[in-house]
Amino acid sequence: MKANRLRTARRHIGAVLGAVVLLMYVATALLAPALTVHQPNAQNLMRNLEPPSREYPLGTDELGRDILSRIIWGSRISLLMMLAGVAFSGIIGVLLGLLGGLSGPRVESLVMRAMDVLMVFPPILLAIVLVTALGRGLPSLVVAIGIHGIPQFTRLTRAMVMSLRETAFVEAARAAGARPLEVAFGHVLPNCAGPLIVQGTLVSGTVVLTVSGLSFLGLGVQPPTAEWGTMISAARLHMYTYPHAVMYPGLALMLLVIALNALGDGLRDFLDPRFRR
Amino acid sequence: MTAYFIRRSATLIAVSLTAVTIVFLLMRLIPGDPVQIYLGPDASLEEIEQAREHLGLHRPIYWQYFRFMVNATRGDLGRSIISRRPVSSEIARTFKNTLVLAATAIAVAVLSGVVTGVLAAVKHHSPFDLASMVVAVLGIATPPFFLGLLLMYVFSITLRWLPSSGTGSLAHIVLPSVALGTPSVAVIARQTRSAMLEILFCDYVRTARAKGLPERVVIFKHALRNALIPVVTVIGLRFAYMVAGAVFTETVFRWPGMGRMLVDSVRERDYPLVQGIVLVAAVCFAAINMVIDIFYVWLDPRIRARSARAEG
Repeated sequence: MKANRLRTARRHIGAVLGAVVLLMYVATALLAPALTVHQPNAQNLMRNLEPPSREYPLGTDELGRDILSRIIWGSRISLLMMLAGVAFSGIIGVLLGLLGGLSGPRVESLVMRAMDVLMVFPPILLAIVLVTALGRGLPSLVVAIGIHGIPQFTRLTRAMVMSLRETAFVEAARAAGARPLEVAFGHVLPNCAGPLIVQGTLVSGTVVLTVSGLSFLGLGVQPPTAEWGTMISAARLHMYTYPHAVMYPGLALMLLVIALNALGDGLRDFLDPRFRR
Repeated sequence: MTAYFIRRSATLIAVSLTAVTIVFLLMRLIPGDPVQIYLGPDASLEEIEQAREHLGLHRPIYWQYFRFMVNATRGDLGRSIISRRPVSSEIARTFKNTLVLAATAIAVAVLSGVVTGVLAAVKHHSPFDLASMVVAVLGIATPPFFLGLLLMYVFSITLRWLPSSGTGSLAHIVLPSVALGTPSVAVIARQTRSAMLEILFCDYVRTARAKGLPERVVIFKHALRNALIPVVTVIGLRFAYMVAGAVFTETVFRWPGMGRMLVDSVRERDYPLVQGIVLVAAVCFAAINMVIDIFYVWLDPRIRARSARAEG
């Protein structure tokens, strides 16, 4: 029992630390104009690839742009894409899950088979194919990074709906004359909130990695927009002599993903009844 | 068991057909005339018309779909726009390299992941346990391309121990396989640890200890054998991901594999090649998953018995 409590305590610390770090990223993104001295895209070719100095705390990149400013502004695009990607997969996934769980067995099996098909494609492959087929640009990028999460949301929602639909309060709502949509959104969905939030947090780490990964490959956010994956991709050509231009954006990315994972793991213990002991 | 195998194979075929269909449709979504791309900007109207007829693009879409399906089952995936060589031979060339890389990476990951997981479980709550789990968290959170660059920086730029990119010698595969395998080490170690922890408190393990068996035998013969059943699933899944998704590692280390070819062909708008690679990767992914499922049933006598009862 002591071990169990120790584990729980460790998880709580992780969740709190994760939340604090995440809030710091959000604050940085919101306050980007106030926090930076240099413009993220302002070039100064006379002073490119400089090591960290007083004027450029993290040095400059291959075009003489301030790396710190670009990392700070880059947090905006990463967080925005994360929100958009998770919202996309969450909304579609939950709707499909409700549909699958609350309508007849025919629709249910149709929805679930469609999800099986989506899961046949390895995530990064699916993202690359979608970016190729839908063209470059932020909307198609959101679809590409969000699609992998849809089956996870759908399966989770359907599983919860299946256990909820037999409960007394749902039956009571039905008996009181609530229409199907009212039952779905007014009575079933609010009771799925906890696990869905957990799932959203866990998916967001993957989404952040996919955005930067696609950008690293040149298929995501396009230059000159300051984005961590794009920054790493451009700077790696100079890694032999100027590693700092690769390291700092990479560390920014890593820390954000660690924070999201820690928060997700901690929230799961806290909000998901299946993991609560 | 046989019935299960047949059912599972049927699913694989259905899944592959769906994958072919989706890839076919997605490729038709791409804006722009494929013939124009195929022939380049200097082509005359007449040439374009001829090529259109030759490729069957003047026929209705269901006819094109049918022909694509028939050709694909015969292993004919069309020709690359850039190299003009058959897509299937282009893929065969790079697929071999990806397979070698993925096999090495999974070997690295299984060895270090299982050992770490067992040690962490046996020395439960020790500093080693804590340290290994911290490393696991880092391994999962590090972007794969960044991990590759970090390894390259430390081992080939700073220490000059290993070559940074390309192929040719045994030393060339070390860094890419470690980079590709590390996230899996983390996942496998976590899974092994939790499976071991569950089993170490089972009655039969206590019995084995009470009989006075040496701890080594208890852990490796009694506990690990059973703990490995769920771990096998994870290992297979990770391997499937590696074969289908070594994109980043191959790009960073300039490894001439299928993933790098996919990125290059997307960039060069070589759509037949993109189509072929995605198809092969998706079918491989599904096939590996099927093998895992079957292996899992075969490995776990409880499931085997249950499915035998269901059939009988």
